[in-house]
Amino acid sequence: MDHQIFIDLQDRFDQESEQFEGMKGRAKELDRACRVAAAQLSKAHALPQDKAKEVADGIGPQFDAIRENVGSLAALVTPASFYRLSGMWTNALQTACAQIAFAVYLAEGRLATPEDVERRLGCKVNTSNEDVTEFMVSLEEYLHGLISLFSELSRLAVNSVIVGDVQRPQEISAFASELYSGFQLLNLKNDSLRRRFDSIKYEVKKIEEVLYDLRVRGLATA
Amino acid sequence: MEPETEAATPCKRRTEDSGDGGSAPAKPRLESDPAADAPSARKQAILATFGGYRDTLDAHYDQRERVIKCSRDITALSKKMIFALLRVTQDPPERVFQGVRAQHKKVLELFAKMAADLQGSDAAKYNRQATPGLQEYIEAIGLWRFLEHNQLITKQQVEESLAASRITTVTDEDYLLGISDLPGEVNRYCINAIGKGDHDAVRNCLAFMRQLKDGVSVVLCACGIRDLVKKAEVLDSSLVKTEQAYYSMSVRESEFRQPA
Repeated sequence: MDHQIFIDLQDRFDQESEQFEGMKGRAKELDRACRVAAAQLSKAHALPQDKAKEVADGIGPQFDAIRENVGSLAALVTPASFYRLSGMWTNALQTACAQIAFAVYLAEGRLATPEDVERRLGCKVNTSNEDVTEFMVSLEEYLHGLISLFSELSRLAVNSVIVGDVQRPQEISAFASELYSGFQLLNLKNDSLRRRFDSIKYEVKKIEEVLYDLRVRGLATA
Repeated sequence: MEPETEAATPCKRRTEDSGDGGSAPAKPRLESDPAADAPSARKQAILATFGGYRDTLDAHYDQRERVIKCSRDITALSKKMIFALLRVTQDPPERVFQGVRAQHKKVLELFAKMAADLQGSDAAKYNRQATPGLQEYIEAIGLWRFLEHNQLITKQQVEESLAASRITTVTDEDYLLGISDLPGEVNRYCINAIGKGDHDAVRNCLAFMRQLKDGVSVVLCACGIRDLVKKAEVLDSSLVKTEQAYYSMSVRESEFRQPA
C-alpha cells in the first residue's frame, strides 16, 4: 500500500486548515461588526418614533463596517469552498439581515427586501437557488433575519408605550401580521427555520396583548 | 380576540410629528382611509415575494430529498456488492467478480441520477446528503480492489470509476471516510479465509489493515473530521479481532504439528 496517499491527504488538510484560520478570523470580525450595529440600533427602543428614525438613519457607518467585513471575508472564500464553510459565517449574516430589516422598518416602515440587503452588505441574496459563483447571502439567512425582526417588533411595541406613544403599536401589529402572513405561505421542513418560524406566533401574540391593554383602557383608537 | 372599544376619547399623543403626514408608510396613523389602503399594498407586496420564496424553498427541499433518496439507494446496492464480494472465499472468484460488475453498473446508474442534482455549487451544498452513499460505494469498490489486486484504492481511481456518471467531485473527506470503513469488511473476509486455512490471504489482510491503520492515524490529527475518530476506533477493533483470530489459528496449527 502506498503510504504516500495518506501523507498527501495530511498535507491537503493542513493547508486547508490554515486557510480556515484566516477565514475564521474574518468571520469573527464580521460577527463583531454585526453586534456593534445591533447595539447601536437597539437604542431605538428607548426613543420616541422620530428619534428612533434618526437612529436608524444614522446607522449607515455601522453597516459600512459590516459591508467591509463581508468583503474581506468574501475575498477568501472560493465558490468551491462556499457551501463547505458557510457554517462559519451564517450566524453573522443572519444577524446582519435582522439589523438591516429593523433599520429599514424604523426608517421607512416597510419590509427590507433582498435588494436592501444587497445594497448594505455588498452581496446578493440567493433568492432563486442560483449556482454560487460568488459570495452570497442565502435565502434562509435572509428569512432567519426576518424572523429575528419579530422579537424586535414585539419589544418595540412595548417600548413605544413606555415612551408614551400609544398609537404606534397598532402600526407595528399591522406590519407584524402582514409579515407573518408572508411566512405562513412557506412550506417549511423540519429544520431550524421551521423551529424559529414556530416561535413567531408568540411574538405576534405579545404585540396583540399590548394592543389589547391599550384598547381595553381606551388609550388608543381602533 | 380583539375587543373593539370605541368608547373613550382617544388620548391623542401625536405630539409634534403631525406635520409630516406626507411621508406615507412611517406615519403614526391618521384616521381610516390610508390605513385601508397603504398597508394592503404593503401586504400584497409581502405576499407576492414570499410566494416566490416558497417556490425557491420547495425546489431546494425537493432537490435535497432526491439526493437523500439516491444516496440511500446507492448505500443499499453497495452493501449488496460487498456481500457478493465476501462470497469470494466460497465461490470461484471470477464468477463473483462478474456478478459484482453487473451490480456496479446499476450503482453507476444511480450515481448518474444523483449527479443531476449535484452540479456546480450544489455538489458542496448537498454533500452532507450525498456522502453516506458515496462512502459506502467507496467501501465497496475499495474491497473489490483489495480482493482483486491486493491494493488500496486511490481517490483518483474512485473518481475515474465515477467519471461516466457525471459525479464531478469526490472530496478528501468522502474518500477517507469511505476507505476507513474497509477494515470491517476485510476482517470478515479474513475470518472466512482462516476457515479455509488460506494463510496468504490472512497475511495480506493483516498487512493491509495495519497499513491502513497507520495511514489513517497519520491523517487523524490533521483533519477535523469528527466521524473519522469513531471510524478509527472501529478500525482498531477490527484489526485486534483479526490479529486475535490469526493468533488462535496459529496456536491450533502448532498444536497439530507438535506430535509429528
